[in-house]
Amino acid sequence: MTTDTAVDAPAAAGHRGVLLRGQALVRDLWIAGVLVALIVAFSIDSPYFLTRANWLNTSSTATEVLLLAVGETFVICAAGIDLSVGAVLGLSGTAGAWVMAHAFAGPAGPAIGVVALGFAACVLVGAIFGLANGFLIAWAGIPPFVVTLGTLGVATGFGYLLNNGQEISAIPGSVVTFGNTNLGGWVPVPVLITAVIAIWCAVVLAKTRFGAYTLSIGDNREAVVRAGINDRRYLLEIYLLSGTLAGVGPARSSTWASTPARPRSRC
Amino acid sequence: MSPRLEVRDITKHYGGVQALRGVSLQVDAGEVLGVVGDNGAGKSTLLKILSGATFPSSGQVLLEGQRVRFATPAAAREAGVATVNQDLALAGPRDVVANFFLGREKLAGNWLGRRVGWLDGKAMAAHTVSELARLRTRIPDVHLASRDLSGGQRQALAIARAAAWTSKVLLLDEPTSALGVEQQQQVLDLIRRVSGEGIAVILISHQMPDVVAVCGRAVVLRLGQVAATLAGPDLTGENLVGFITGAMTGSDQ
Repeated sequence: MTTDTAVDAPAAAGHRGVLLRGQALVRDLWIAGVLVALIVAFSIDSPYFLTRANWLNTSSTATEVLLLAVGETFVICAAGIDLSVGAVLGLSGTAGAWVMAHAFAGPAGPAIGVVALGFAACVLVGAIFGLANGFLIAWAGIPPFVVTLGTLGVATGFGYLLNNGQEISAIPGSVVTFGNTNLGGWVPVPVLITAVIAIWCAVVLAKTRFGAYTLSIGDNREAVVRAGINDRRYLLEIYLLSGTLAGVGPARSSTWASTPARPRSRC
Repeated sequence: MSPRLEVRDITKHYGGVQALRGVSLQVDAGEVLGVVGDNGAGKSTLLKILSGATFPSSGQVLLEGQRVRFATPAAAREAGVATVNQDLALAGPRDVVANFFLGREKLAGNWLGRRVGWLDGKAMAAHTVSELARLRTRIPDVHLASRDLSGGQRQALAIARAAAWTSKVLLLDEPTSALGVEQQQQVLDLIRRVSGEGIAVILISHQMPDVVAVCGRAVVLRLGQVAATLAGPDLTGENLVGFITGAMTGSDQ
């Protein structure tokens, strides 16, 4: 009878389990192989590719995109989409620069205070847009595509309104020094900060309850609701994370170049 | 002693449509009660009321003698009435452990665990293995994605999960309908084991042989009313079909 054999079945079935897990691993990791292949190919193709200067340049440029991608990973894992991140990144950069320019021109304290104020403005703007997206998606029940397409337009519009579409250049010079600081000549500070955020978010997604619910909402939201989980709260937090990371992006770049004040995305 | 779950004179109408017209039934601890009926007989409406998905228009539901009124499926589950719907509510790409603990994750007991919601993966995996072993379900590896399991294993996982988190009543909606013959037998064995642990099971099914095989009693619904309650030698596939179609009528037993 099947009932009796079932007890010792796991031993025999173990091999099949290991095989299936191996297949799943390949399914998940093949894209890393593509990256390695690209690096090898470009290194052979150009003597300038595998150099310190190119590493510093590409890694610094990649931080913004990486932060957006990290936030978007959570959103997409939860079966959503956040189209607004690019526009929010542009707006929060503009807003940060605008705040710094006004605080700098006015009777402000030391430059470090001005810079901190600018950073805070960047992150705050990102968080506000993330909250708006999350609220409209989770509670108003509007599809993420529609909501974030709308906030994309709103963010772009505000970006132009803030300074009539002009660049803002009256920013403390000290912001540049911070962003250009290298650790050991190889690790720019913004790259380090971004790496820490990315690794932390990877750990959160894989090892915490927040990550588990993010994945489960994406795979089967109905199952999550029936399990008694407050799916709306988690959706709100996911979009808040995405918006906040979009706000952190320009906080870095405004330290790196003193003219970040251009909305990067247009409708 | 009051029965584990009792339904008294339940009615439900959707506008002018009368889905249930005064249904009463009861199920005791450790009993498997079959509920059969043709499409539109009121099975799903009854299931929805018992699982907390909707309210009855009138009548009472009593859990261990206490009147209950479940606002949501989560509230029903909290009270000890778990449901396994036909769609199983599994997150396909997530592994067996994640699905087993969905909504009841174990966190690491230290400061970090409580602060950031750090999952205690080892303890959850060990608990899943022991629970599945206790109910003797055949799942090769608890770290497999649930979509990589066979249909019978998925059904077994959903039932084992519901059974592990409830101690009172388990509602099963068509648990064997999409399965092969051998897998059907495994699920029926699992249902017997679950009821053997003192859980009251209500089995809603179209598969008459299954109902005859595992149920001590079966209630036949027809046009929103109880057409018959069959038990013992009267509980045969022929009688069930007879009352479902209306070919047989008459009093209970």
